[in-house]
Amino acid sequence: MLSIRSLTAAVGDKTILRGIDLEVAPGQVHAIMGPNGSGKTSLGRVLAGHPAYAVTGGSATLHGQDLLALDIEERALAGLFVSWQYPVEVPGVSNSEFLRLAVNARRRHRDEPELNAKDFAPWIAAVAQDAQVPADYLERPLNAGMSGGQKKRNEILQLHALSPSVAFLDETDSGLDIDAIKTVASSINAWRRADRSVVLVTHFQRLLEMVKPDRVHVLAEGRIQQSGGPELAEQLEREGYDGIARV
Amino acid sequence: MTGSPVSDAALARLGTPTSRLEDWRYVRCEGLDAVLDAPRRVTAADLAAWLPAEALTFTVVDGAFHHLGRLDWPGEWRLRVADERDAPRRTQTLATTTEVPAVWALTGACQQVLEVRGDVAAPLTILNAATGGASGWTLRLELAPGARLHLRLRHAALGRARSALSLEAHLGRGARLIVEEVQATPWAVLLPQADLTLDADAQATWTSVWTGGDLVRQRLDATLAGRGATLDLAALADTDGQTQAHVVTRVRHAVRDTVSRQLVKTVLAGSSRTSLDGIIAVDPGADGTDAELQNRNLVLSPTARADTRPQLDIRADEVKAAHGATIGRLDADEVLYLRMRGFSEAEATSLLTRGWRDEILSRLTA
Repeated sequence: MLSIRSLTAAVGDKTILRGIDLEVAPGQVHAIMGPNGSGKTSLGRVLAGHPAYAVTGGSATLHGQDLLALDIEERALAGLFVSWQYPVEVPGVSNSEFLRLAVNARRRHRDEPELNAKDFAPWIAAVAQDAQVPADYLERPLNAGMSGGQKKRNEILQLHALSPSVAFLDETDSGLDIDAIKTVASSINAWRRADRSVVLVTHFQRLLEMVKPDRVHVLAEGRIQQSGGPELAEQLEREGYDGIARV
Repeated sequence: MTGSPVSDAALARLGTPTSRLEDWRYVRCEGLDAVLDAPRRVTAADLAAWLPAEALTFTVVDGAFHHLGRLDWPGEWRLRVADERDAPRRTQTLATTTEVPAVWALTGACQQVLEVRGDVAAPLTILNAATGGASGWTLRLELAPGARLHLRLRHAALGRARSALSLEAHLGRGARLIVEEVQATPWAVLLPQADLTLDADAQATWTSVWTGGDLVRQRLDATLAGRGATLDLAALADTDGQTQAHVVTRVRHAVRDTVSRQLVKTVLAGSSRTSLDGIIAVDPGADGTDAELQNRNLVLSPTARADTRPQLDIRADEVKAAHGATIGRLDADEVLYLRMRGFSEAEATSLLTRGWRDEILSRLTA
């Protein structure tokens, strides 16, 4: 469903991604691990169409559709969700208003009827329950005044509301206490379906014990250096990244 | 009916303000002497759009007071014509000498006095309407200790007019004043001003929303004169085309342990122009003052212009005072975040601009 081939990208003169190959099938969970600065966050941004990055080669498709030819919002509407490590604060815009407009943009795109404010309220309340996010998140301004952990959980609420087909979750576990990681993991698992895939960027084995990956990849210096099953994450936890052979 | 519309001849003698005057330096003064419509008689029907049928309300038309709407609301309050007891007592201790006298001579001695005791349960609406010409009107508010009043000011122009509405308010100990002020229509020239004095533990919450005109210029003076007094001021100027809206504030902390908050936001489109000129002054001995003045300007057009001058004048030692200003476009990361959630650029811009306004608009109750 998500197919990335020989993807290279740069910021200005600096090459960030040096040829990424990744095939994510429907229903799968792929974990991407790797040292800081290896290109994990950049991969998500390039897929999402972040304007700071220039794609210099390769391809990325979602359901066979050329992602790289689409505008930022078209990629989202096509089913790609890329979470932010540090979600931006938007005071003055309520979370529920933001979600209603975002959900309706998606429904328009799919030729489904839009939800009016009256119908949306019970709908999103049920979604928040599925996402295991407190109902009062909906009344708050979008990410404004939220702790780091609350912002991460708010990203997961968006994931549930927007129902994309691929979720690229960038260090959603960082900055969370153990209980919050369990809740977020459970929320991610609740979102999974046979036709939905997850790419999890993480530094920690702990999340992967709860959201079991089908494949684990080690990204370093802009390339996937090694791929394997869940045992690779265990090995990294024991040995660190030094033992990984560089391509 | 009382009032004293100012004659064109009297105004002509004063001449038009110019941006060479320090207090008017940010104002685009050319065109301010534009031709005004001749004042005309109005009926209640003309004003119905701005007068909620069930509301406690009265109206000022071209600087003259009218009973229109209900004035039979329960509560301990009375409105009377000003007399010799009500000698002018504008403080304006912070006024600089170049202020055009009495806001371009449109306001003078106080004409009505509203005395409030206890809690006036319902919001009181004052409609400032003008059909043409130049006029001004001054109201004195006397809030007894513990009194509570919720005031809605609506400024509606029914023709090209120049108008000043001046409010002098004295809040007794523990009194509470809430003011929601909205510019309901475009104006040629609108010059609202207020001068508040707050005794101990009094609280004033003031929200103004401006959409601009040839000139809209708000001036608000406040003196926190008793311990525990609190002022919370927020204003939004939302301008477009050739309009301009300026906010001038002078907040004086005269005694210790008082609090003021000022947030002035603008959204500028077209070739519009806004400014904030604000001073927080802290008197000697007014320790424990907690004051903040923030000015945030969102400039949506390359030909719009926002000026800002937030200032501190602090003469006490133990004071918490903050002031700051930003002038810029929408935050690029906020736009990107929304686009990554499926908003088009236009939708993202629209929602973020609405959110920018809503921080102020959400303070309005109607």
